[in-house]
Amino acid sequence: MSQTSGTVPKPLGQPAARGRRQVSRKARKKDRDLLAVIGWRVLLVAIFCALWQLAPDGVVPESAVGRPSSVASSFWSLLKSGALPTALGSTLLSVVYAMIIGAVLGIALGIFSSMPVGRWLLGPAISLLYAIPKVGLIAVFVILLGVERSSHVALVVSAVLFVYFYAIRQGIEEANEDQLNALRGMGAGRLTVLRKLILPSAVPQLLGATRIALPLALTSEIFAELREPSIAGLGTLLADSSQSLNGAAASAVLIVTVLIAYGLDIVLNSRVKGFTELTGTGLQV
Amino acid sequence: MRLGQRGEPSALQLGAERPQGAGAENSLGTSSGHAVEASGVEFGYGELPVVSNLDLKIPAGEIYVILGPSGCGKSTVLNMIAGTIKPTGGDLTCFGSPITDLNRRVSYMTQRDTLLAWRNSLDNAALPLEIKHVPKQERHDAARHVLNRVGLNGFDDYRPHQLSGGMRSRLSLARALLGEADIFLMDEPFAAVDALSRLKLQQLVVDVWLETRKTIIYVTHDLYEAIALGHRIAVMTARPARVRLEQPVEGPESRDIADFKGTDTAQHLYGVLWNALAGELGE
Repeated sequence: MSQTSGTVPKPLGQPAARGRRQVSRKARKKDRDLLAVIGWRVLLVAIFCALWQLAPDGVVPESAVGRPSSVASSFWSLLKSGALPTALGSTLLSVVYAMIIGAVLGIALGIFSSMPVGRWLLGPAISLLYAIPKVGLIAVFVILLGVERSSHVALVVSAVLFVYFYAIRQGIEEANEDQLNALRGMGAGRLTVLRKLILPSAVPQLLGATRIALPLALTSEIFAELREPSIAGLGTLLADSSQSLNGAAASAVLIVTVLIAYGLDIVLNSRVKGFTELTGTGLQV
Repeated sequence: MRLGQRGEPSALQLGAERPQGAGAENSLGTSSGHAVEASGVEFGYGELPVVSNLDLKIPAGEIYVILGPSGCGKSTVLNMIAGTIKPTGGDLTCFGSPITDLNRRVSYMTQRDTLLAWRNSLDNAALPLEIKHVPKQERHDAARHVLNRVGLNGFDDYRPHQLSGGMRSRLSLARALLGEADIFLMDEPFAAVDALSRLKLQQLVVDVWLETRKTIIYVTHDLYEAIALGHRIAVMTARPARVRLEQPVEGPESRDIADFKGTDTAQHLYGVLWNALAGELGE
Protein backbone atom coordinates (compact mmCIF):
# COMPACT_ATOMS: atom_id res chain seq x y z
CA MET A 1 0.00 0.00 0.00
CA SER A 2 1.73 3.18 -1.08
CA GLN A 3 0.57 6.06 0.98
CA THR A 4 2.73 8.74 -0.56
CA SER A 5 1.81 8.25 -4.20
CA GLY A 6 0.79 11.47 -5.85
CA THR A 7 2.03 13.63 -3.03
CA VAL A 8 5.20 15.65 -2.63
CA PRO A 9 7.88 13.41 -1.09
CA LYS A 10 8.10 14.22 2.59
CA PRO A 11 11.45 14.66 4.25
CA LEU A 12 12.64 11.61 6.11
CA GLY A 13 13.53 11.80 9.75
CA GLN A 14 11.61 11.37 12.96
CA PRO A 15 10.94 7.79 12.03
CA ALA A 16 9.24 7.14 15.34
CA ALA A 17 6.68 9.85 14.78
CA ARG A 18 6.11 8.62 11.27
CA GLY A 19 5.61 5.10 12.56
CA ARG A 20 3.04 6.28 15.04
CA ARG A 21 1.20 8.19 12.35
CA GLN A 22 1.11 5.09 10.18
CA VAL A 23 -0.24 3.03 13.02
CA SER A 24 -2.98 5.50 13.78
CA ARG A 25 -3.81 5.71 10.10
CA LYS A 26 -4.08 1.92 10.03
CA ALA A 27 -6.29 1.99 13.12
CA ARG A 28 -8.52 4.59 11.55
CA LYS A 29 -8.78 2.50 8.40
CA LYS A 30 -9.73 -0.49 10.51
CA ASP A 31 -12.46 1.56 12.19
CA ARG A 32 -13.72 2.68 8.80
CA ASP A 33 -13.78 -0.93 7.57
CA LEU A 34 -15.74 -1.99 10.63
CA LEU A 35 -18.26 0.81 10.12
CA ALA A 36 -18.66 -0.23 6.50
CA VAL A 37 -19.31 -3.83 7.50
CA ILE A 38 -21.91 -2.78 10.07
CA GLY A 39 -23.50 -0.46 7.53
CA TRP A 40 -23.81 -3.26 5.00
CA ARG A 41 -25.32 -5.59 7.55
CA VAL A 42 -27.90 -3.02 8.65
CA LEU A 43 -28.72 -2.40 5.02
CA LEU A 44 -29.23 -6.14 4.40
CA VAL A 45 -31.55 -6.41 7.39
CA ALA A 46 -33.46 -3.34 6.18
CA ILE A 47 -33.83 -4.83 2.69
CA PHE A 48 -34.99 -8.12 4.20
CA CYS A 49 -37.59 -6.30 6.35
CA ALA A 50 -38.75 -4.22 3.41
CA LEU A 51 -39.25 -7.32 1.27
CA TRP A 52 -41.03 -9.04 4.16
CA GLN A 53 -43.28 -6.03 4.62
CA LEU A 54 -44.02 -5.35 0.96
CA ALA A 55 -44.08 -8.79 -0.66
CA PRO A 56 -47.48 -9.90 -1.91
CA ASP A 57 -49.57 -12.04 0.38
CA GLY A 58 -49.00 -15.26 -1.53
CA VAL A 59 -45.22 -15.04 -1.07
CA VAL A 60 -45.16 -14.25 2.67
CA PRO A 61 -47.51 -16.41 4.78
CA GLU A 62 -48.69 -13.48 6.81
CA SER A 63 -50.91 -15.48 9.17
CA ALA A 64 -47.91 -17.58 10.23
CA VAL A 65 -45.12 -15.02 10.50
CA GLY A 66 -46.83 -11.64 10.42
CA ARG A 67 -45.31 -8.55 8.82
CA PRO A 68 -42.56 -6.42 10.36
CA SER A 69 -45.12 -3.77 11.29
CA SER A 70 -47.42 -6.25 13.04
CA VAL A 71 -44.44 -8.01 14.63
CA ALA A 72 -43.25 -4.67 16.01
CA SER A 73 -46.64 -3.81 17.41
CA SER A 74 -46.99 -7.32 18.92
CA PHE A 75 -43.57 -6.89 20.46
CA TRP A 76 -44.58 -3.53 21.89
CA SER A 77 -47.80 -4.80 23.41
CA LEU A 78 -46.08 -7.90 24.86
CA LEU A 79 -43.46 -5.60 26.34
CA LYS A 80 -46.00 -3.13 27.72
CA SER A 81 -48.19 -5.80 29.26
CA GLY A 82 -45.12 -7.21 31.01
CA ALA A 83 -45.74 -10.65 29.51
CA LEU A 84 -42.50 -10.65 27.54
CA PRO A 85 -40.14 -9.45 30.33
CA THR A 86 -41.68 -11.95 32.78
CA ALA A 87 -41.43 -14.81 30.32
CA LEU A 88 -37.88 -13.87 29.35
CA GLY A 89 -36.84 -13.65 33.01
CA SER A 90 -38.38 -17.02 33.80
CA THR A 91 -36.78 -18.74 30.82
CA LEU A 92 -33.37 -17.26 31.54
CA LEU A 93 -33.64 -18.24 35.21
CA SER A 94 -34.24 -21.88 34.30
CA VAL A 95 -31.41 -21.73 31.77
CA VAL A 96 -28.98 -20.24 34.29
CA TYR A 97 -29.85 -22.85 36.92
CA ALA A 98 -29.51 -25.63 34.40
CA MET A 99 -26.25 -24.34 32.95
CA ILE A 100 -24.64 -24.16 36.38
CA ILE A 101 -25.88 -27.56 37.51
CA GLY A 102 -25.11 -29.12 34.12
CA ALA A 103 -21.59 -27.69 33.96
CA VAL A 104 -20.70 -28.75 37.50
CA LEU A 105 -22.18 -32.23 37.07
CA GLY A 106 -20.72 -32.72 33.60
CA ILE A 107 -17.23 -31.60 34.65
CA ALA A 108 -17.33 -33.70 37.83
CA LEU A 109 -18.49 -36.80 35.94
CA GLY A 110 -15.93 -36.16 33.22
CA ILE A 111 -13.11 -35.99 35.74
CA PHE A 112 -14.36 -39.05 37.59
CA SER A 113 -14.75 -41.05 34.40
CA SER A 114 -11.14 -40.25 33.45
CA MET A 115 -9.91 -42.19 36.45
CA PRO A 116 -9.56 -45.95 35.98
CA VAL A 117 -12.41 -46.76 38.40
CA GLY A 118 -14.66 -44.15 36.86
CA ARG A 119 -13.98 -45.33 33.34
CA TRP A 120 -14.79 -48.87 34.36
CA LEU A 121 -17.97 -47.82 36.16
CA LEU A 122 -19.29 -45.07 33.93
CA GLY A 123 -17.90 -45.60 30.45
CA PRO A 124 -20.74 -47.57 28.82
CA ALA A 125 -23.45 -45.93 30.97
CA ILE A 126 -22.55 -42.43 29.80
CA SER A 127 -22.45 -43.48 26.16
CA LEU A 128 -25.90 -45.07 26.52
CA LEU A 129 -27.37 -42.04 28.30
CA TYR A 130 -25.90 -39.75 25.67
CA ALA A 131 -27.79 -41.66 23.01
CA ILE A 132 -31.17 -40.94 24.62
CA PRO A 133 -33.17 -38.26 22.79
CA LYS A 134 -33.21 -35.85 25.71
CA VAL A 135 -36.48 -34.10 24.83
CA GLY A 136 -38.24 -37.41 25.37
CA LEU A 137 -37.29 -37.21 29.03
CA ILE A 138 -39.63 -34.28 29.75
CA ALA A 139 -42.47 -36.71 30.50
CA VAL A 140 -40.30 -38.63 32.95
CA PHE A 141 -39.14 -35.47 34.69
CA VAL A 142 -42.69 -34.14 35.02
CA ILE A 143 -43.76 -37.40 36.63
CA LEU A 144 -40.71 -37.39 38.87
CA LEU A 145 -40.54 -33.74 39.80
CA GLY A 146 -44.04 -32.49 39.17
CA VAL A 147 -45.19 -29.51 37.15
CA GLU A 148 -42.46 -27.35 38.54
CA ARG A 149 -39.54 -25.38 37.28
CA SER A 150 -37.34 -28.25 38.45
CA SER A 151 -38.65 -30.55 35.75
CA HIS A 152 -37.69 -27.98 33.10
CA VAL A 153 -34.28 -27.51 34.69
CA ALA A 154 -33.77 -31.27 34.84
CA LEU A 155 -34.46 -31.58 31.13
CA VAL A 156 -32.02 -28.81 30.26
CA VAL A 157 -29.40 -30.29 32.61
CA SER A 158 -29.73 -33.64 30.87
CA ALA A 159 -28.91 -31.90 27.60
CA VAL A 160 -26.00 -29.62 28.59
CA LEU A 161 -24.35 -32.07 30.98
CA PHE A 162 -23.00 -34.14 28.10
CA VAL A 163 -21.52 -31.14 26.35
CA TYR A 164 -19.41 -30.37 29.43
CA PHE A 165 -18.72 -34.05 30.05
CA TYR A 166 -17.16 -34.59 26.64
CA ALA A 167 -15.38 -31.22 26.71
CA ILE A 168 -13.58 -31.90 29.98
CA ARG A 169 -12.80 -35.45 28.87
CA GLN A 170 -11.16 -34.05 25.77
CA GLY A 171 -9.32 -31.48 27.87
CA ILE A 172 -7.96 -34.19 30.14
CA GLU A 173 -6.93 -36.38 27.22
CA GLU A 174 -5.13 -33.50 25.57
CA ALA A 175 -3.33 -32.35 28.71
CA ASN A 176 0.37 -32.16 28.03
CA GLU A 177 2.01 -35.29 29.41
CA ASP A 178 5.39 -33.62 29.92
CA GLN A 179 3.73 -30.89 31.98
CA LEU A 180 1.88 -33.53 33.93
CA ASN A 181 5.11 -35.36 34.71
CA ALA A 182 6.83 -32.09 35.58
CA LEU A 183 4.15 -31.25 38.13
CA ARG A 184 4.11 -34.74 39.56
CA GLY A 185 7.89 -34.60 39.79
CA MET A 186 7.55 -31.45 41.89
CA GLY A 187 5.46 -33.47 44.30
CA ALA A 188 2.00 -32.46 43.11
CA GLY A 189 -0.79 -34.84 44.08
CA ARG A 190 -3.87 -35.63 42.02
CA LEU A 191 -5.89 -32.70 43.28
CA THR A 192 -3.06 -30.24 42.72
CA VAL A 193 -2.52 -31.54 39.18
CA LEU A 194 -6.23 -31.12 38.57
CA ARG A 195 -6.34 -27.57 39.91
CA LYS A 196 -3.05 -26.26 38.56
CA LEU A 197 -2.85 -28.07 35.23
CA ILE A 198 -5.89 -30.00 34.01
CA LEU A 199 -8.61 -27.43 34.68
CA PRO A 200 -6.67 -24.38 33.48
CA SER A 201 -5.56 -26.15 30.31
CA ALA A 202 -9.16 -27.25 29.68
CA VAL A 203 -10.46 -23.68 29.82
CA PRO A 204 -10.60 -23.29 26.01
CA GLN A 205 -12.57 -26.54 25.70
CA LEU A 206 -14.92 -25.47 28.51
CA LEU A 207 -15.53 -22.06 26.98
CA GLY A 208 -16.19 -23.76 23.65
CA ALA A 209 -18.56 -26.15 25.41
CA THR A 210 -20.44 -23.19 26.88
CA ARG A 211 -20.89 -21.70 23.44
CA ILE A 212 -22.49 -24.96 22.31
CA ALA A 213 -24.41 -25.61 25.52
CA LEU A 214 -26.09 -22.22 25.83
CA PRO A 215 -28.21 -22.27 22.67
CA LEU A 216 -28.91 -25.94 23.38
CA ALA A 217 -30.12 -24.99 26.87
CA LEU A 218 -32.33 -22.22 25.48
CA THR A 219 -33.81 -24.59 22.92
CA SER A 220 -34.43 -27.33 25.48
CA GLU A 221 -36.02 -24.90 27.93
CA ILE A 222 -38.33 -23.45 25.31
CA PHE A 223 -39.26 -26.97 24.27
CA ALA A 224 -40.05 -27.83 27.89
CA GLU A 225 -42.22 -24.71 28.15
CA LEU A 226 -44.05 -25.58 24.94
CA ARG A 227 -44.68 -29.09 26.15
CA GLU A 228 -45.38 -28.19 29.78
CA PRO A 229 -46.42 -24.54 29.73
CA SER A 230 -47.46 -24.20 33.36
CA ILE A 231 -44.17 -22.47 34.16
CA ALA A 232 -44.53 -19.41 31.99
CA GLY A 233 -41.62 -18.58 29.72
CA LEU A 234 -40.83 -17.67 26.15
CA GLY A 235 -42.08 -21.10 25.12
CA THR A 236 -45.40 -20.42 26.84
CA LEU A 237 -45.74 -17.19 24.89
CA LEU A 238 -45.00 -19.09 21.70
CA ALA A 239 -47.61 -21.71 22.56
CA ASP A 240 -50.16 -19.00 23.36
CA SER A 241 -49.56 -17.10 20.15
CA SER A 242 -49.80 -20.21 18.00
CA GLN A 243 -53.01 -21.22 19.75
CA SER A 244 -54.51 -17.80 19.10
CA LEU A 245 -53.14 -17.96 15.53
CA ASN A 246 -51.13 -14.81 16.17
CA GLY A 247 -48.16 -15.30 13.84
CA ALA A 248 -46.82 -11.81 14.48
CA ALA A 249 -46.53 -12.43 18.24
CA ALA A 250 -44.80 -15.78 17.60
CA SER A 251 -42.31 -14.03 15.33
CA ALA A 252 -41.69 -11.35 17.95
CA VAL A 253 -40.92 -13.98 20.62
CA LEU A 254 -38.64 -15.91 18.26
CA ILE A 255 -36.75 -12.78 17.28
CA VAL A 256 -36.22 -11.90 20.95
CA THR A 257 -34.95 -15.44 21.58
CA VAL A 258 -32.55 -15.24 18.66
CA LEU A 259 -31.21 -11.86 19.79
CA ILE A 260 -30.67 -13.13 23.34
CA ALA A 261 -28.79 -16.20 22.11
CA TYR A 262 -26.75 -14.06 19.72
CA GLY A 263 -25.86 -11.56 22.46
CA LEU A 264 -24.75 -14.31 24.83
CA ASP A 265 -22.63 -15.84 22.09
CA ILE A 266 -20.89 -12.52 21.44
CA VAL A 267 -20.07 -12.21 25.15
CA LEU A 268 -18.74 -15.77 25.29
CA ASN A 269 -16.73 -15.32 22.14
CA SER A 270 -14.99 -12.32 23.64
CA ARG A 271 -14.12 -14.45 26.67
CA VAL A 272 -12.61 -17.10 24.38
CA LYS A 273 -10.61 -14.42 22.58
CA GLY A 274 -9.46 -13.02 25.91
CA PHE A 275 -8.11 -16.40 26.97
CA THR A 276 -6.46 -16.94 23.60
CA GLU A 277 -4.67 -13.62 23.88
CA LEU A 278 -3.66 -14.32 27.47
CA THR A 279 -2.00 -17.62 26.69
CA GLY A 280 -0.96 -17.01 23.11
CA THR A 281 -2.74 -20.21 22.10
CA GLY A 282 -2.45 -20.58 18.39
CA LEU A 283 0.48 -18.17 18.26
CA GLN A 284 3.04 -20.32 20.01
CA VAL A 285 4.90 -22.71 17.77
CA MET B 1 36.42 -48.78 24.99
CA ARG B 2 36.11 -46.90 28.20
CA LEU B 3 38.33 -44.02 29.06
CA GLY B 4 36.67 -43.11 32.31
CA GLN B 5 38.62 -45.21 34.73
CA ARG B 6 37.12 -46.28 37.92
CA GLY B 7 38.74 -46.09 41.30
CA GLU B 8 40.62 -42.88 40.76
CA PRO B 9 40.62 -40.46 43.64
CA SER B 10 37.60 -38.31 43.31
CA ALA B 11 38.19 -34.68 42.65
CA LEU B 12 34.55 -33.85 42.57
CA GLN B 13 32.67 -34.80 45.65
CA LEU B 14 29.10 -33.85 46.17
CA GLY B 15 29.94 -30.97 48.45
CA ALA B 16 30.82 -27.50 47.28
CA GLU B 17 33.89 -27.17 49.44
CA ARG B 18 36.07 -27.88 46.48
CA PRO B 19 38.44 -25.08 45.47
CA GLN B 20 37.30 -23.28 42.38
CA GLY B 21 40.83 -22.58 41.25
CA ALA B 22 41.64 -22.07 37.60
CA GLY B 23 41.12 -25.47 36.06
CA ALA B 24 42.79 -27.01 39.07
CA GLU B 25 42.00 -30.67 38.64
CA ASN B 26 40.60 -33.05 36.21
CA SER B 27 37.27 -34.17 37.46
CA LEU B 28 37.73 -37.81 36.75
CA GLY B 29 36.48 -39.04 40.06
CA THR B 30 33.92 -41.74 40.14
CA SER B 31 34.58 -43.43 43.42
CA SER B 32 32.04 -41.38 45.33
CA GLY B 33 28.30 -41.94 44.95
CA HIS B 34 26.78 -42.37 41.57
CA ALA B 35 23.79 -40.27 40.73
CA VAL B 36 22.67 -42.78 38.15
CA GLU B 37 23.85 -46.27 37.40
CA ALA B 38 22.65 -48.41 34.54
CA SER B 39 23.75 -51.92 33.89
CA GLY B 40 22.52 -53.94 30.99
CA VAL B 41 19.51 -51.69 30.56
CA GLU B 42 17.21 -52.54 27.68
CA PHE B 43 14.27 -50.72 26.24
CA GLY B 44 12.20 -51.46 23.20
CA TYR B 45 8.79 -51.26 21.65
CA GLY B 46 7.80 -54.85 20.97
CA GLU B 47 10.46 -56.33 18.72
CA LEU B 48 12.14 -52.99 18.08
CA PRO B 49 15.03 -52.33 20.47
CA VAL B 50 15.65 -48.66 21.23
CA VAL B 51 18.20 -49.08 23.98
CA SER B 52 20.24 -52.23 24.25
CA ASN B 53 22.70 -53.36 26.89
CA LEU B 54 23.28 -49.86 28.21
CA ASP B 55 25.90 -49.44 30.93
CA LEU B 56 26.30 -46.03 32.51
CA LYS B 57 27.85 -44.73 35.67
CA ILE B 58 27.04 -41.11 36.14
CA PRO B 59 28.99 -39.60 39.04
CA ALA B 60 27.12 -37.32 41.38
CA GLY B 61 27.89 -33.64 41.06
CA GLU B 62 29.13 -33.68 37.49
CA ILE B 63 27.88 -32.49 34.17
CA TYR B 64 27.47 -35.67 32.18
CA VAL B 65 26.82 -35.24 28.50
CA ILE B 66 25.14 -37.89 26.42
CA LEU B 67 26.10 -37.33 22.80
CA GLY B 68 24.70 -39.26 19.91
CA PRO B 69 23.20 -39.17 16.46
CA SER B 70 19.63 -37.95 16.13
CA GLY B 71 17.05 -40.57 16.91
CA CYS B 72 19.53 -42.92 18.55
CA GLY B 73 17.55 -43.19 21.77
CA LYS B 74 19.19 -40.48 23.89
CA SER B 75 15.85 -39.10 25.00
CA THR B 76 14.69 -42.60 25.82
CA VAL B 77 17.62 -42.92 28.23
CA LEU B 78 16.61 -39.65 29.92
CA ASN B 79 12.98 -40.73 30.07
CA MET B 80 14.02 -43.91 31.83
CA ILE B 81 16.09 -41.93 34.33
CA ALA B 82 13.12 -39.62 34.86
CA GLY B 83 10.96 -42.68 35.41
CA THR B 84 8.40 -41.74 32.77
CA ILE B 85 9.10 -45.00 30.97
CA LYS B 86 10.29 -48.29 32.41
CA PRO B 87 13.26 -50.26 31.11
CA THR B 88 12.29 -53.60 29.64
CA GLY B 89 15.41 -55.16 31.12
CA GLY B 90 18.51 -54.54 33.23
CA ASP B 91 19.06 -52.48 36.36
CA LEU B 92 18.71 -48.74 36.60
CA THR B 93 19.31 -46.99 39.89
CA CYS B 94 19.31 -43.41 41.12
CA PHE B 95 21.54 -42.78 44.13
CA GLY B 96 21.52 -46.50 44.74
CA SER B 97 17.79 -47.13 44.71
CA PRO B 98 16.01 -48.60 41.71
CA ILE B 99 13.84 -46.25 39.66
CA THR B 100 10.40 -47.77 39.83
CA ASP B 101 8.08 -44.79 39.46
CA LEU B 102 8.36 -41.13 38.47
CA ASN B 103 11.77 -40.06 39.78
CA ARG B 104 11.28 -37.19 42.20
CA ARG B 105 15.00 -36.58 42.52
CA VAL B 106 15.25 -35.26 39.00
CA SER B 107 14.09 -32.08 37.35
CA TYR B 108 13.53 -32.67 33.67
CA MET B 109 13.93 -29.97 31.04
CA THR B 110 12.39 -31.55 27.96
CA GLN B 111 12.98 -30.42 24.39
CA ARG B 112 9.68 -28.59 24.42
CA ASP B 113 9.40 -26.60 27.59
CA THR B 114 6.74 -27.49 30.14
CA LEU B 115 5.92 -23.94 31.21
CA LEU B 116 2.25 -23.22 31.84
CA ALA B 117 0.91 -20.88 29.16
CA TRP B 118 -1.59 -19.10 31.42
CA ARG B 119 0.95 -18.20 34.10
CA ASN B 120 3.38 -15.32 34.03
CA SER B 121 7.10 -15.84 34.56
CA LEU B 122 6.92 -15.21 38.27
CA ASP B 123 4.20 -17.78 38.88
CA ASN B 124 5.78 -20.26 36.50
CA ALA B 125 9.08 -20.07 38.34
CA ALA B 126 7.38 -20.23 41.72
CA LEU B 127 5.36 -23.33 40.83
CA PRO B 128 7.53 -25.85 42.74
CA LEU B 129 7.17 -23.73 45.88
CA GLU B 130 3.46 -23.22 45.31
CA ILE B 131 3.01 -26.99 45.21
CA LYS B 132 4.81 -27.18 48.55
CA HIS B 133 2.39 -24.57 49.92
CA VAL B 134 5.03 -21.91 50.49
CA PRO B 135 3.25 -18.62 51.28
CA LYS B 136 2.76 -16.32 48.32
CA GLN B 137 5.04 -13.49 49.39
CA GLU B 138 7.85 -15.88 50.22
CA ARG B 139 7.64 -17.87 47.00
CA HIS B 140 7.42 -14.72 44.91
CA ASP B 141 10.54 -13.37 46.57
CA ALA B 142 12.34 -16.63 45.87
CA ALA B 143 11.07 -16.63 42.28
CA ARG B 144 12.27 -13.06 41.73
CA HIS B 145 15.65 -14.09 43.01
CA VAL B 146 16.05 -16.99 40.58
CA LEU B 147 14.59 -14.99 37.68
CA ASN B 148 17.25 -12.44 38.41
CA ARG B 149 19.85 -15.21 38.53
CA VAL B 150 18.99 -16.48 35.05
CA GLY B 151 18.82 -12.98 33.62
CA LEU B 152 15.08 -12.56 33.43
CA ASN B 153 14.67 -9.63 35.79
CA GLY B 154 11.95 -7.32 34.60
CA PHE B 155 10.01 -10.09 32.89
CA ASP B 156 7.90 -11.10 35.90
CA ASP B 157 4.61 -10.36 34.19
CA TYR B 158 5.39 -11.88 30.81
CA ARG B 159 3.65 -15.05 29.79
CA PRO B 160 5.62 -17.81 28.04
CA HIS B 161 4.32 -16.92 24.58
CA GLN B 162 5.64 -13.40 25.01
CA LEU B 163 9.18 -14.66 25.64
CA SER B 164 11.76 -15.79 23.11
CA GLY B 165 12.91 -19.41 22.98
CA GLY B 166 16.06 -18.57 24.91
CA MET B 167 14.11 -16.74 27.58
CA ARG B 168 11.76 -19.68 27.97
CA SER B 169 14.79 -21.90 28.51
CA ARG B 170 15.99 -19.47 31.18
CA LEU B 171 12.58 -19.54 32.81
CA SER B 172 12.56 -23.35 32.80
CA LEU B 173 15.96 -23.30 34.43
CA ALA B 174 14.77 -20.81 37.03
CA ARG B 175 11.85 -23.06 37.87
CA ALA B 176 14.16 -26.07 38.13
CA LEU B 177 16.36 -24.11 40.54
CA LEU B 178 13.41 -23.68 42.89
CA GLY B 179 12.71 -27.39 42.85
CA GLU B 180 14.49 -29.72 45.18
CA ALA B 181 15.84 -32.06 42.55
CA ASP B 182 19.36 -33.41 42.94
CA ILE B 183 19.71 -34.10 39.25
CA PHE B 184 18.88 -31.86 36.30
CA LEU B 185 18.00 -33.75 33.14
CA MET B 186 18.34 -31.59 30.06
CA ASP B 187 17.23 -32.90 26.69
CA GLU B 188 18.68 -30.61 24.03
CA PRO B 189 17.21 -27.70 25.95
CA PHE B 190 18.72 -25.07 23.69
CA ALA B 191 18.21 -26.78 20.34
CA ALA B 192 15.68 -24.19 19.20
CA VAL B 193 17.73 -21.18 20.29
CA ASP B 194 19.94 -19.06 18.05
CA ALA B 195 23.69 -19.65 18.26
CA LEU B 196 24.58 -16.53 20.25
CA SER B 197 21.87 -17.04 22.85
CA ARG B 198 22.85 -20.69 23.04
CA LEU B 199 26.38 -19.73 23.97
CA LYS B 200 25.10 -17.55 26.80
CA LEU B 201 22.73 -20.25 27.98
CA GLN B 202 25.52 -22.82 27.99
CA GLN B 203 27.58 -20.47 30.12
CA LEU B 204 24.57 -20.09 32.40
CA VAL B 205 24.36 -23.87 32.81
CA VAL B 206 28.03 -23.99 33.78
CA ASP B 207 27.58 -21.07 36.20
CA VAL B 208 24.53 -22.67 37.76
CA TRP B 209 26.45 -25.90 38.11
CA LEU B 210 29.30 -24.03 39.81
CA GLU B 211 26.86 -22.58 42.34
CA THR B 212 24.77 -25.66 43.00
CA ARG B 213 27.10 -28.56 42.14
CA LYS B 214 24.10 -30.59 41.16
CA THR B 215 24.38 -33.51 38.81
CA ILE B 216 23.43 -32.41 35.32
CA ILE B 217 22.72 -35.00 32.65
CA TYR B 218 22.73 -33.20 29.35
CA VAL B 219 21.67 -34.74 26.07
CA THR B 220 22.84 -33.20 22.82
CA HIS B 221 23.86 -34.03 19.28
CA ASP B 222 26.12 -30.99 19.11
CA LEU B 223 29.81 -31.91 19.50
CA TYR B 224 30.89 -28.44 20.55
CA GLU B 225 28.14 -28.19 23.10
CA ALA B 226 29.21 -31.52 24.55
CA ILE B 227 32.83 -30.40 24.81
CA ALA B 228 31.88 -27.03 26.25
CA LEU B 229 29.71 -28.39 29.03
CA GLY B 230 30.70 -31.89 29.96
CA HIS B 231 32.93 -33.28 32.66
CA ARG B 232 32.34 -36.53 30.90
CA ILE B 233 30.90 -37.27 27.50
CA ALA B 234 29.26 -40.54 26.60
CA VAL B 235 29.10 -41.09 22.85
CA MET B 236 26.14 -43.27 22.01
CA THR B 237 25.87 -45.75 19.17
CA ALA B 238 23.14 -45.54 16.58
CA ARG B 239 19.94 -47.29 17.56
CA PRO B 240 19.79 -49.43 19.61
CA ALA B 241 21.59 -47.05 21.93
CA ARG B 242 24.63 -48.21 23.81
CA VAL B 243 27.63 -46.29 25.10
CA ARG B 244 30.35 -46.44 22.46
CA LEU B 245 32.89 -44.25 24.22
CA GLU B 246 33.08 -42.40 27.47
CA GLN B 247 35.39 -39.42 27.30
CA PRO B 248 36.39 -37.38 30.32
CA VAL B 249 36.90 -33.67 29.79
CA GLU B 250 38.81 -31.21 31.85
CA GLY B 251 36.07 -29.83 34.05
CA PRO B 252 34.48 -26.56 33.02
CA GLU B 253 34.75 -25.05 36.52
CA SER B 254 36.60 -21.99 35.44
CA ARG B 255 35.76 -22.32 31.82
CA ASP B 256 34.73 -19.48 29.65
CA ILE B 257 32.77 -21.42 27.10
CA ALA B 258 33.30 -19.11 24.17
CA ASP B 259 37.07 -19.18 24.67
CA PHE B 260 37.27 -22.84 25.49
CA LYS B 261 35.81 -23.87 22.19
CA GLY B 262 38.87 -22.47 20.45
CA THR B 263 41.52 -24.19 22.55
CA ASP B 264 43.70 -27.07 21.40
CA THR B 265 42.17 -29.29 24.07
CA ALA B 266 38.76 -28.67 22.62
CA GLN B 267 39.97 -29.28 19.07
CA HIS B 268 41.60 -32.52 20.13
CA LEU B 269 38.43 -33.66 21.90
CA TYR B 270 36.42 -32.76 18.84
CA GLY B 271 38.57 -35.13 16.80
CA VAL B 272 38.21 -37.95 19.29
CA LEU B 273 34.46 -37.55 19.60
CA TRP B 274 33.97 -37.13 15.89
CA ASN B 275 35.84 -40.36 15.18
CA ALA B 276 33.59 -42.18 17.60
CA LEU B 277 30.45 -40.55 16.29
CA ALA B 278 31.25 -40.78 12.58
CA GLY B 279 31.21 -44.54 12.72
CA GLU B 280 27.65 -44.37 13.95
CA LEU B 281 26.49 -41.91 11.33
CA GLY B 282 27.71 -43.81 8.31
CA GLU B 283 25.61 -46.87 8.87
